[in-house]
Amino acid sequence: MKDKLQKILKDTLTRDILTFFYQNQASIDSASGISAWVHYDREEVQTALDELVRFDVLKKDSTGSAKGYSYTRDAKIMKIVNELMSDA
Amino acid sequence: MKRLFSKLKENWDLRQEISAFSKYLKEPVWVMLPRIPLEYGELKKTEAARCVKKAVGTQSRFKKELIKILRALKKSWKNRTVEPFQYGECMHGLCYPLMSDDDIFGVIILCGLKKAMSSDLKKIFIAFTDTVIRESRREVELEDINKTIRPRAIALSTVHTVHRLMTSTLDLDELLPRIARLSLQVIRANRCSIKLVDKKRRILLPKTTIDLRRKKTKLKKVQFGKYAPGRAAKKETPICGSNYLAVPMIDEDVIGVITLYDKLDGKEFTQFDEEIMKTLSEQAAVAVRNAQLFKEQEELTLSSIKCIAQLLKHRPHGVSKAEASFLKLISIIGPKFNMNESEIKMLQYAAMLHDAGHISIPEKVLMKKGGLTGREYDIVKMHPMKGAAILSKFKPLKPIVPIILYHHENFDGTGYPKGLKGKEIPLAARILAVVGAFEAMVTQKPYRKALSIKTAIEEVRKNVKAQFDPRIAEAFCEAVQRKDVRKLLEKELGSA
Repeated sequence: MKDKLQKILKDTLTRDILTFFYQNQASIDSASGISAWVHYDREEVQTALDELVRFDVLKKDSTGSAKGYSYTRDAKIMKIVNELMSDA
Repeated sequence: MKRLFSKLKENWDLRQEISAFSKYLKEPVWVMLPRIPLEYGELKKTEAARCVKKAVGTQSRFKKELIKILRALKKSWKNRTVEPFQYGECMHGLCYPLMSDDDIFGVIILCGLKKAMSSDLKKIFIAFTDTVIRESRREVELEDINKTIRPRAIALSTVHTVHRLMTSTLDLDELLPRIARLSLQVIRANRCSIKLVDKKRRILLPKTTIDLRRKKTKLKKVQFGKYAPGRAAKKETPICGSNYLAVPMIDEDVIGVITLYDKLDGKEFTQFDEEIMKTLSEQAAVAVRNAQLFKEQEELTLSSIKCIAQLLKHRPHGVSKAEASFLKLISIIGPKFNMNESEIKMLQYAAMLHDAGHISIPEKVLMKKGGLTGREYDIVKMHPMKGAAILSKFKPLKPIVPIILYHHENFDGTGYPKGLKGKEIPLAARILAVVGAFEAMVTQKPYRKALSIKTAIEEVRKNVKAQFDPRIAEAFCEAVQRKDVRKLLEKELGSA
């Protein structure tokens, strides 16, 4: 898991998004909201968000047109992200 | 002010300024200090003093020169002005107080100049340094904004997203677990329980609990005034303990309480958690109230439908005994054709009222045992239009009007009232055509006995393509042979 995460975090945008959620663990935001925080194009952010959701690092709440992304509550994944962020 | 001084020291433009002036002024000594040294002892320890010592030989002369510079520094501090000074044989320098508004936050002492700085050069030096100070100040302000406003903006954006997620459903059974999950996410807690108020009994009824550490949780009723949720409901204010936070949901009155337990990081609940939860609970209260009102509205609509259906049952045209079975069949068939929950509900309402137009058919026609005359059949064929006209007056039932109107259309275009064909007939009407025909077949009529379930299914199969949409007929035959449906049908019809 750590290796796979390390691999996707080579992408600057993915890393910036994860850093945002790591620093703001209580945040729940839409793709456009997050694109405002990390200063990237919304569509690029959407792709990176989907990738992070696929790795269970982010959680996606979705109902109708409303979608919210938030940081994982999985203790194991949180520990791995913690290590990766400390290494950076 | 300390931060402003550090920011200024790090400023790249200031370094450029120093470098440019240094070349022009033949490498003088730049000293930047966070406060103006106003005591001899203080000045003596600075780089400026070392510069003076190099220029003058003796200790007594050194002291004398330093006192001269100290005088310039004091004047500079007092008048907030750039003060030149001279020391040694012909060495020059100046001190420039660093100011933000009226506050002095440091000083630049420039010494080792071979000649006094010209007034023009002094003006340039002051203008440039002031610009750099302003820029550093803006950087500090921006950092402050980032530290204070950004977290609040992120929290506000979170609240907005949560609001959208909460208000996108009117189904209370879906809404309450969602509120619990979102609250857990925002506050980073392990457990969230939502209880709703039972006003008459003054108790809180448990509605949902999510515990990230356990799969099963106990749901407990809580009296007003007891435990954290009860106290929050009674006092209408958040109750915060080291490992719990109970926040009332208030919409005019308290309608419920959201209680969070045990933060993920093991820390205590904070004032910020309380503030965020107060905002979320206000939104949750509105969402819960809307869902409750919607449910009440739906119940009212359903009661009205049941009331009309009950009236229709008193018409002598044969009464279906298997209402629950047909509604279940619709709930199984609908999703296979991508119908959403609301469309299925409307189709169920239509199934209950599809023969509302029978009210316009004279009793003698409905009761007739033999074949109908052409005129009588024309009257019967009018019933979908009459039914649709009656129900179109009841606003909540508007979506079912086309279903009622077209449920006697045949797939091959031979039906009535309009002779629509294939997909011209609305999907819901095509489903109702199959279910309604099956219902009619298994129900006793004045002119014939009820068919058995098996025979009725065979009849449906026989009429595929001509009367029924083949895909729907196939889905129907599959659904009607499910064990649970069959059991319910047999129970309601009292036979196989």
